Amino acid sequence: MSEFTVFGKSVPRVDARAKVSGETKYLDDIKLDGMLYGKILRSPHPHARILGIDISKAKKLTGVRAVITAEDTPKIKFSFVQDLADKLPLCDKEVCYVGDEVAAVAADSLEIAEEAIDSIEVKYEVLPAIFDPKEAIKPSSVLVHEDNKKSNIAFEIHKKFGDVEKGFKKSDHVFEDEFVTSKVTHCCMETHGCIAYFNYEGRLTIYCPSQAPHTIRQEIARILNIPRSKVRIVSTPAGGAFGERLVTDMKQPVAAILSRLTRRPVKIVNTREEEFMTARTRYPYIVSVKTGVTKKGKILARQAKVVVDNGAYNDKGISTLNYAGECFLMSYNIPNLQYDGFGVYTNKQFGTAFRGFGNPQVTFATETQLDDIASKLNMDPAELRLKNVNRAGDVTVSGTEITNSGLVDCIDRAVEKSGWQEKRSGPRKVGENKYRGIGMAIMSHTGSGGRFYGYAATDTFLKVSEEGQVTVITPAPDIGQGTTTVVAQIVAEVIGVDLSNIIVINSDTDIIPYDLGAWGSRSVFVCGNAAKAAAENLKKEIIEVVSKMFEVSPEEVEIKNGEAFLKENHGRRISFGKVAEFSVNRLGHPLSGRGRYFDPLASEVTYYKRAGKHIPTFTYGCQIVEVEVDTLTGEIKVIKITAAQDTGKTVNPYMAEGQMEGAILQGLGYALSEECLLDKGRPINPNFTDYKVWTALDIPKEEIIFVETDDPLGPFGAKGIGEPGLVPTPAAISNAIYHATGIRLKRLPMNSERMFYTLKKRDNNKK
Amino acid sequence: MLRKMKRFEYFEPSTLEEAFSLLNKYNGKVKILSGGTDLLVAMKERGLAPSYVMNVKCIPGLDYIKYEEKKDLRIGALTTIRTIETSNVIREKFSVLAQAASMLGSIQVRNRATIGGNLCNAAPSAETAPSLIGLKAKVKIASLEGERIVPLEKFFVGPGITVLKKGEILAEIIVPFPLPHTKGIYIKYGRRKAMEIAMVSVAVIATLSVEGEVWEDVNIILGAVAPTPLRARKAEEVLQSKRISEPLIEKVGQLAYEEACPISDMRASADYRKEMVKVLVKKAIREISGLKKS
Ligand SMILES: Cc1cc2nc3c(=O)[nH]c(=O)nc-3n(C[C@H](O)[C@H](O)[C@H](O)COP(=O)(O)OP(=O)(O)OC[C@H]3O[C@@H](n4cnc5c(N)ncnc54)[C@H](O)[C@@H]3O)c2cc1C
Repeated sequence: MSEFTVFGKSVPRVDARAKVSGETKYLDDIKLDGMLYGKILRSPHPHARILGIDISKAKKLTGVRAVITAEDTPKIKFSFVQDLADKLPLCDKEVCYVGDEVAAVAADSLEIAEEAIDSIEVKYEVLPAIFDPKEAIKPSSVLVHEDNKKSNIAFEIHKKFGDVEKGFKKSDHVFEDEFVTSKVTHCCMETHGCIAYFNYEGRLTIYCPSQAPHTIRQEIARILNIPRSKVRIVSTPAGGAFGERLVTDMKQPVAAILSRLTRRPVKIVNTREEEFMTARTRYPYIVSVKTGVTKKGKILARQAKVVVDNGAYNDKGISTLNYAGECFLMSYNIPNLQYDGFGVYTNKQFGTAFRGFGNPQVTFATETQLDDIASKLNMDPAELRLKNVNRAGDVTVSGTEITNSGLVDCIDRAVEKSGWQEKRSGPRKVGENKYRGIGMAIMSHTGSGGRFYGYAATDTFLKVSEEGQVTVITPAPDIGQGTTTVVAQIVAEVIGVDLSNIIVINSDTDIIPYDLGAWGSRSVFVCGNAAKAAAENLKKEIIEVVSKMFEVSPEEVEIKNGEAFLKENHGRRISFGKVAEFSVNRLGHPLSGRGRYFDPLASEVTYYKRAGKHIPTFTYGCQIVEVEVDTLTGEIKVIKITAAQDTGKTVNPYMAEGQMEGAILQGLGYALSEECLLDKGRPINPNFTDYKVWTALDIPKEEIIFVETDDPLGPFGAKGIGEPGLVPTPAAISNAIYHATGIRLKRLPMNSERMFYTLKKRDNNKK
Repeated sequence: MLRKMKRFEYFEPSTLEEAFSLLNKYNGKVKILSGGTDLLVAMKERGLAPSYVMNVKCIPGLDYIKYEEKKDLRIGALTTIRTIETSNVIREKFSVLAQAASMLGSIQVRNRATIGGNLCNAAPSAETAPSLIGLKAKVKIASLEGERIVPLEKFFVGPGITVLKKGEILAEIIVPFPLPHTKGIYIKYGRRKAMEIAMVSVAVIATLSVEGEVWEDVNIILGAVAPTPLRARKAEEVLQSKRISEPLIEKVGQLAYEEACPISDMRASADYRKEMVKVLVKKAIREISGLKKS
């Protein structure tokens, strides 16, 4: 029997009823009094100089309340990392991608706003554009930002431990490969949008789905040049986020400026086409990996060179590149490691955070190459991995202490449950021109966010009101992943009340404690720890009050199931509500609690400088995929995925399975079918007809296994698993395809057409 | 762009005569609305802005499946794809049509989409066209002047263009009763199992000799590889009155490959489409003849 009553149980999500009944109000459901509709005019060119903008016709239209261009903005350049700022809310002299913001209007109706946008005349001088990052990185390349940059290299990251050259010299075999990943986007069901309202006191409220409301608040303040205290962000329920709702989108400052001019709330919501064109993507990486191994399979050195296709502006490019490097340095126990990355501007829609944060790209490269190494060494891929992985207690050459690791168990369990041994050796031909194969990949990922900001703390406050109802004030953003439920479960577990007595407030920056938001699979860990500390603090107060009621010492009191009782005499019990009442009426004070998650190391680890110490605890996973390849058509069918995931302790198995299944589904699309296609910088598939996310009918069998390692740092041993599910999927699929056909695909997506021509080329070479 | 639609005037005639007079009165500026699954997408996403929209769903007597043994099958233009997919008589006697219908969009789309709309929209990838052409279907076109009957094969002119003239409505699809020993198969090739526009589609419908060895009447129709659904005539001819064999199948595949003239777009390259025509035509013939590749 489990020691827990609520924690670790598949309780229904606390927001489920409102969502399935349609009661939940998403951003576009909200209408404020006097609200106007905003629309943004976007560049039709991948690169051009703005020679003039004529807004006179738009201004004359009845129902148009404001028309703005760069002249109406403070012209402060922005980026997530301010040192890399390069983006204006509305372009001033130059547009750098198809979709770049040029002008905006606010009108009484969306129809009028659209008409007004259509009537704005912009004179452009079209400039040469560049789309291929390998070309753009050359010093001779056309510049993406003609007006203010000397080169297209936007940023660099370098990490070096040991001496890779020496390591390669000592190796028996050295492998060198190049892998290319694609441009994919989050495909949130709810397109992005916001409502901005400047009130008469000059305070700005922005309603929007957000993963990091305090960060957005700070970013908006920066762009508009107003104090942060004048900005309030209210997060609306998010119909998907996955990294897309982390950094501010120019709709928010644009809507704010329109609101300031009109003194009315202004709503701007993306159409689906705009969402595809301008919603930022996963960064495409070109990853060259060089690995040296001994005959016996010990990896002696590994080097990666990454070229990031940054798109037109800086966003999370440097952060993802850096983070992927952290993961590159720590999965395996390798004495010599080097990682060099370059972010390169191109005249395309730009990237941002996306579930996995750079790790899926680099893992695709390293884990696919490792499979190749196993096959050249004639070793079982599982064995090769086990020979090199870091284990709990190890310290990597980059300085990471592996405090806790379920990786070996993940590999063992996945091998066992997938029928690996039998399927690796068994017959592979299963029909006319149909071949089956099975492949694996592992991953390491943060399960706790990170110390990248030099800060990682957060608070939680608890309030107890009538009948013993508990209000939890937490910064944990619920973006569909279920943190509201997780926080409620943790609090309920500590103080022993029913979930129905808990209310979670987590959406308004005027109320919630300061926090960095939902990224890096950190909410369970950071916000969960703070919630647990607050609940323990409250529990202490409850017990004190009960001890006064019963006139016993606090040590004699126990609380459970919404009641307090004496350990020695269960007959003497009292409901939680009565305790709260007693406290107010007799003792003259309410019950409350506060707790903090504080990571003292965070302030010591300066931004990007020290490798190895950025992540408090990692989570691990192993996926084994079985595929069937039709060699006549090139079709690749996924038969089954077995995914073993280290959860520390699973807070809510249903929800955790949901996170894994959803992530794997995104991983399948990433591996096999999804891609933002551009023709000379113009999106050509900005719709769900031709951007191929998988449908319910396409989903293969998934077996999810949780490996519990009881993390010493996590709340009740838990760590976050929001992201990891898709990190190893593309590599595992590529490796299964190799097992089935002998063909190694190194470019995403591995679609049927690409498979067909690779097979054809091989067959022609054989002849 | 998914935009608010431009203003238009909306009509809901309750008889065909009323519909015809509206069509004539507004001389070609009226768009007929059936299920709307093509029309509304075009209006919201592709900027189609008709001045008049005429919903024909309130006209009684255009939604039916009538079957007369040994004679023909008649389908009213307003019959939904879902009705066709689930109709017992179509499943039993014209299974290739039910099969094609079952692959269009998703159940939600099929509940709205009509067969008339699918044909009149005239997409090169229109799901029901290849099998209907292979079944030698004809369409009944009605107007104030009366009715005319056109073989479906002659109905399509180009992408989105048919022989329908101003003032005409597609009223009925007539499928002759197939000869005994007729078999058919429809293969849709795409990347997803639902909500997919065919990259390539192939219908093969053939009447075999009594012993099942000689191919007596062969129809090979290709979708999404030409401006209109395409009959692969040369491929059909070499099979005509022949006994099936592997070398012959190879040859048919090759001829179909040569006849297909697709474009390259974001869904696939022209060359890959042609290659898939070859593979799928061969596959369809093997399946009909019960041959397995040695
Ligand atoms: C999500 C989605 C998925 C889809 N998937 C597929 C698919 O897999 N395969 C496929 O083939 N199609 C697909 N379609 C397209 C569409 O659903 C079909 O073509 C459908 O059969 C159209 O029928 P409708 O009744 O909705 O036509 P409507 O949209 O009402 O009309 C289509 C066109 O035909 C004209 N028209 C309609 N009825 C008549 C008539 N009786 N006489 C004269 N003209 C007429 C209209 O004016 C219009 O130009 C999909 C559409 C959507 C939205």
